[in-house]
Amino acid sequence: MITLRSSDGETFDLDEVVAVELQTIKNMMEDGCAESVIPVPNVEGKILAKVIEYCKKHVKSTAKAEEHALSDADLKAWDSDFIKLDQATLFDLIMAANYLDIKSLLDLLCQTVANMIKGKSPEEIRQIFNIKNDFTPEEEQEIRRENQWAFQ
Amino acid sequence: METRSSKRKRLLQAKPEFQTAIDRITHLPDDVLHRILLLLPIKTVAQTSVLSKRWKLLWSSFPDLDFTTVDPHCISCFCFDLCGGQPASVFPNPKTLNCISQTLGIRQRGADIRVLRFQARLGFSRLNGLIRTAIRHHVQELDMDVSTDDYFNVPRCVVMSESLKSLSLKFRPPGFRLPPSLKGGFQSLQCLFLSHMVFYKKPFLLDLFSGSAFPVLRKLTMDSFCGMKFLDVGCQALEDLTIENCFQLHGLTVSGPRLEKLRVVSCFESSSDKSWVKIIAPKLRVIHWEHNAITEESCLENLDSMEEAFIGFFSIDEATTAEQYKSVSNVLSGLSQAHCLTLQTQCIQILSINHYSTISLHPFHNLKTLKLHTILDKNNIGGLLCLFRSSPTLHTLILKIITHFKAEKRKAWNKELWDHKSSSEEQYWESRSQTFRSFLQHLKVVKMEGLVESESEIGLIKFLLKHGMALQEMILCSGHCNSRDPVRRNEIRSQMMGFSWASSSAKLAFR
Repeated sequence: MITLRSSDGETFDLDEVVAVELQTIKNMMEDGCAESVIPVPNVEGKILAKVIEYCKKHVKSTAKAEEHALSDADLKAWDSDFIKLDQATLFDLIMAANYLDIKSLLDLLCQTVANMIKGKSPEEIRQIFNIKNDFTPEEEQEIRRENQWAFQ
Repeated sequence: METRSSKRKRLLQAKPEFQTAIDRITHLPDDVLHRILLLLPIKTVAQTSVLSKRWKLLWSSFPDLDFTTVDPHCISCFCFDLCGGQPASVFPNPKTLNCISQTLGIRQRGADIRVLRFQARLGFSRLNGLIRTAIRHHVQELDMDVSTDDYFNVPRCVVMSESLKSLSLKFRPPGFRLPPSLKGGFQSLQCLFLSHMVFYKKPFLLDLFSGSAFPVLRKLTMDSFCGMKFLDVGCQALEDLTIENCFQLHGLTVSGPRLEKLRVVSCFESSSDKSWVKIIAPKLRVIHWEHNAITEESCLENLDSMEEAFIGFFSIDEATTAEQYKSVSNVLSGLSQAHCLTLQTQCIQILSINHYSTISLHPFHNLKTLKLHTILDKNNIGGLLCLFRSSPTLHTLILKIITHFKAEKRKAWNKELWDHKSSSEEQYWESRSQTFRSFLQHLKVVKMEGLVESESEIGLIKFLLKHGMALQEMILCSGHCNSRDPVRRNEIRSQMMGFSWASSSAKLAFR
């Protein structure tokens, strides 16, 4: 049993088999510097809860896990529900998955963001993500010219 | 009427969603944003450069530049370079845009390129420029599919690059040349694909892949090497080698302590004398030899790790010489450790030639699966016999029958062929069955595809049912259009039940 403590003091107990999905934690365990409670200073409680929820669902192959194992189609459906998040949570999750080095979660979240960008014009992308345009109109024209092939 | 300032105040005091108009995405670290952008087509990524200053920097340091998703006309130029003192013929294309040059032009200094991949028709100076810029940015993977108007000489910086791990040079005819000396070159290269390399002035490249170059090369593919006659590949780290479409090849030597996979397709000159192939590869597991002319000499040594072999030759319909016969049997003997062997029809035909059949094959002690793509008739039976004799512990036999285009397709149901009396084909097998007793004692599964119910096929089926002591399953797949005729199947089945089978647990299935 491994215990993780979030930045705001919440603790979470995990089976070892789930904990190794978090590569950063796995490395700590292998290096022998995992104490009884591992602090995760960069991640808030509610985000860490979601990360652990994902890992528990995706944990692979032990005899116990196989009982609860979902089919690929079911897992995909669960994933598409999981990513219905507001932007704040989405990006906090990305930062957490990056720090804790959970490849499959990071891939899922990055693909979600990529899907939000795909097929949109720059103006639409700015609106979706509240990106402030800090170019002057002349500067923007210059960039469009420098990358003319992309704006044809 | 609400003023703007009072509206703003109202909104600020309203629900939290209206307050957090924060740009969260821009605060992600570079590598995470690059990771997201890598999932998008490059044109979209380039468009994000206009979002804000941060995004402009992200684009100018974007690691993987794969332009193959962009319309190839946008990179091409139809200007001919000045070569050999000829005046340049220029056909300017007013719509020519140069995505790669533009992108490399705005590249952030110090931002290394990880991947550069493109497909284009280019003039020499532009292609040279692109290559040099990529190498200068420490490119790791360079993948070009290009056509030029004349032989292109690959610049030396490519050879000497220390960052290059994967290189793919796919040219169209006339092709390209590498610099004459590769000494000390390609020190980091792990993966190499070369297509249409020109050898006409230097038919020997004996030390290209066996000298000090390519110390860490793991995978090598050579396609269409025009004029290459002799090739010696001996890279120490090589695991996977493919050689295709080298029609002028006379002599091939492959030796590699780590080589695991070898594929040679459509090589060797069919009319050449004294052609040879020599393979020494103790770790070789998989070999695929297809459409190659039969070499005068073949030597396969030490292939102790052999698992899977596919052998097919290219032969013009001339009589096989004694040397060719010896060569083929050497190849097969060299593969004697194989677990799974697939042979095409020419092998079987050659093995069937009577006056050479005194040479017997080295037995395949590990062979569990034998797949034969062959015509099945009186002329080929000898080859099958030879193989059965040499496969003492075979588990599965699969025959994919090729019908000679002249053969009559038997539509009418010929009951007599299926009855219990021994036909002459069956007698052929029965009279020799002592010589492959072990085969009959071990054979468990037989699958025959493309059946046309010729005498030879039926003779063999009946023989195997009557004498296959360990037989568990026989699967018959018809090559006829009326293959799924259940009446016919039942007729066959009831005929088969009329004689005693050697194995009581055998099952007959139709597909």
